[in-house]
Amino acid sequence: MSKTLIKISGVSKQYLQGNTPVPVLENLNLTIEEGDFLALMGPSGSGKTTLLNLIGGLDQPDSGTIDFDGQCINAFSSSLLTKWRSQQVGFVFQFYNLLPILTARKNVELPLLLTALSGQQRKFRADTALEIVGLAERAEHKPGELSGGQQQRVAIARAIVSDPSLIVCDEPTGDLDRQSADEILNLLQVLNSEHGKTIIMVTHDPKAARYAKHGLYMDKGKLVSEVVSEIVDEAEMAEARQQTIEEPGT
Amino acid sequence: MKYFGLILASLWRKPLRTSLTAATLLVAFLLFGLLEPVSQMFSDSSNLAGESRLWVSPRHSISDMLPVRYHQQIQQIEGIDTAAHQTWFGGVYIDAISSSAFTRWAVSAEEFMQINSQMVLPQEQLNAFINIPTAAVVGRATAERFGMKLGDKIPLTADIWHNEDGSHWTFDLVGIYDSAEGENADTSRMLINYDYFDEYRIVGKGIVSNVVFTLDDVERSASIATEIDSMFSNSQMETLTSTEQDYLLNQLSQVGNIGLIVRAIMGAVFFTILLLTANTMSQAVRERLAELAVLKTLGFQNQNILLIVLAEAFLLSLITAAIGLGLAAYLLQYSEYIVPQITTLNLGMSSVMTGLLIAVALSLIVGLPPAMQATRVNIAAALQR
Ligand SMILES: Nc1ncnc2c1ncn2[C@@H]1O[C@H](COP(=O)(O)OP(=O)(O)O)[C@@H](O)[C@H]1O
Ligand SMILES: [Mg+2]
Repeated sequence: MSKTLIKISGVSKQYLQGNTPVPVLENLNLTIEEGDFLALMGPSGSGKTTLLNLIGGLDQPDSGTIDFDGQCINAFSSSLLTKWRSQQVGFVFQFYNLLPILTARKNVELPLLLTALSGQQRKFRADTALEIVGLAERAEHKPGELSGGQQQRVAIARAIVSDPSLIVCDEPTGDLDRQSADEILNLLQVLNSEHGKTIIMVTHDPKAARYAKHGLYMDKGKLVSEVVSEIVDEAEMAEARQQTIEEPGT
Repeated sequence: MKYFGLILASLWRKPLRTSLTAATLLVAFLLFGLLEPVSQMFSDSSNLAGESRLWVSPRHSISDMLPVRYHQQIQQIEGIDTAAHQTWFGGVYIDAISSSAFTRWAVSAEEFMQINSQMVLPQEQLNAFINIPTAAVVGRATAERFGMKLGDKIPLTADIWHNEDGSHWTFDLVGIYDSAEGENADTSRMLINYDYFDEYRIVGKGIVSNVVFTLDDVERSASIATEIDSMFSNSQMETLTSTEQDYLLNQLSQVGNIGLIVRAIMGAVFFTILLLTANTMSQAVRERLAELAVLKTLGFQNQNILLIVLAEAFLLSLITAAIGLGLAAYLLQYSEYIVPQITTLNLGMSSVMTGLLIAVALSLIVGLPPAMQATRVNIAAALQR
């Protein structure tokens, strides 16, 4: 845990509701180390998704800078940002967002269509990614034929297939039962610890946050506390987090 | 084309909807392929150059007829090889349906058979046709269809040309001709002798439908046609000298501007298709804005998205155009069975090109608006369900 991967300085973001600007993020500062697994918690509407979208390059801040590996990504043109996204970031959403018409393998292959890889190489990489998430034998299945947990694993395979350094997850277990959620979280943990992926995960499930290395609490567009630094005693941490989050959580 | 699977899968998302759209497009292009040659035929300016066989017919109306003396006058024009005349007999053979299987003409037998050298008749049958007043010949197709044999009496009931007995005519079958132009050529016509017919008809003696002639020199066809038409320009019946096909088209044109009617129909068809398909396409894109937002999230550029959505429209309309036009070309082979006198309709290269151009234009008009809409989708908003 040495190198800074993401440095957010003085970032503000507001949305327009009709004609009135609604500030969502205000002068936010945050540094994320390479190899971190960060859980971002906080009540609904506190700006977690907005922040995640800025970090993932899906949106641009109104002011402030976001540096990724020393590059200021908010200075990128929209097409450069899109290209950067395809190379550096993997996305995992609450509702999986797989294309229902494509098989699991074809879904995982999608990001590779943007590369110069041959069909053979794409298939090989997609199969490797599916193997990592433990779904190799479901490659030919369509999303509709898979359980929620399995679909989320396909989504994770898609997120890692182009070998990005950063994975952002927005409520990845929000739509799953406890057991599937634990499987997904274990998988993310493995990706973090064994494959060295930096992971930022938005969640309002304290049990989910337990899998992360760090926890961060957000309220009304501000980072109010660093809940966890290092997980020393897992049970104790869970307790602590429970107390902190119970009130604003779902 | 690595996006091909993606495009195909998108098209196949709603198989019923895509099939219906494809079917609609296919019918439109089939119709285009069948009708375009027809309208082309009507708009082709007539070109007499190189024509060795021309028709002289009344200039102004299909119901007019020519005095038979025109035949002799034309025959005498320098540069004309042989002239014959023919008169539409009409009449009924057995019943209306049987009658419609072949046409019946009273002709100046000897010259007519000379001019129509593609009608092959054995010499003794030809002699019999020329020498026996009540003689008739039919083509192989008609003979086989109705089981006619040499020596048969062929009864016809007149609908225009009555004789002293009323409407009853009887002819002796003395010849069955084949075509030198191969098996598919038309061998349906029945021919009778004009002199016999003219002698016994009780009205309209001495008039004929057309004079047909061949030239010594095909290079002179245009100038001879002009000469004939000016020769009769101030006489009792003005003439129009043209090719056989133009003559027939001219007859049809007197019913209405068929070329224009055909074009109008095609225009209406394509406009309807355009509205239907455009609606379907934009609906299909609207349904998957969130999916397209996912693709953008994954790093697909706006131009990739544009390409994918447009390609769907292109694929659908080009494939259906190819099938529709192919089918039309296939069916047009049989056009000669519908209107035997008109040379077989063909789907020319220019019609195919026009069809494909329409397909391209259709894809752009139909695909571009939803494709643009797809590129404008805001990822963050679209993913926020
Ligand atoms: N595209 C948008 N347009 C307008 N307002 C938005 C948009 N996205 C989010 N917001 C508003 O910004 C605030 C923060 O939203 P969000 O980042 O999604 O919060 P969270 O993910 O923590 O629930 C909310 O009040 C939300 O209504
Ligand atoms: Mg959110």
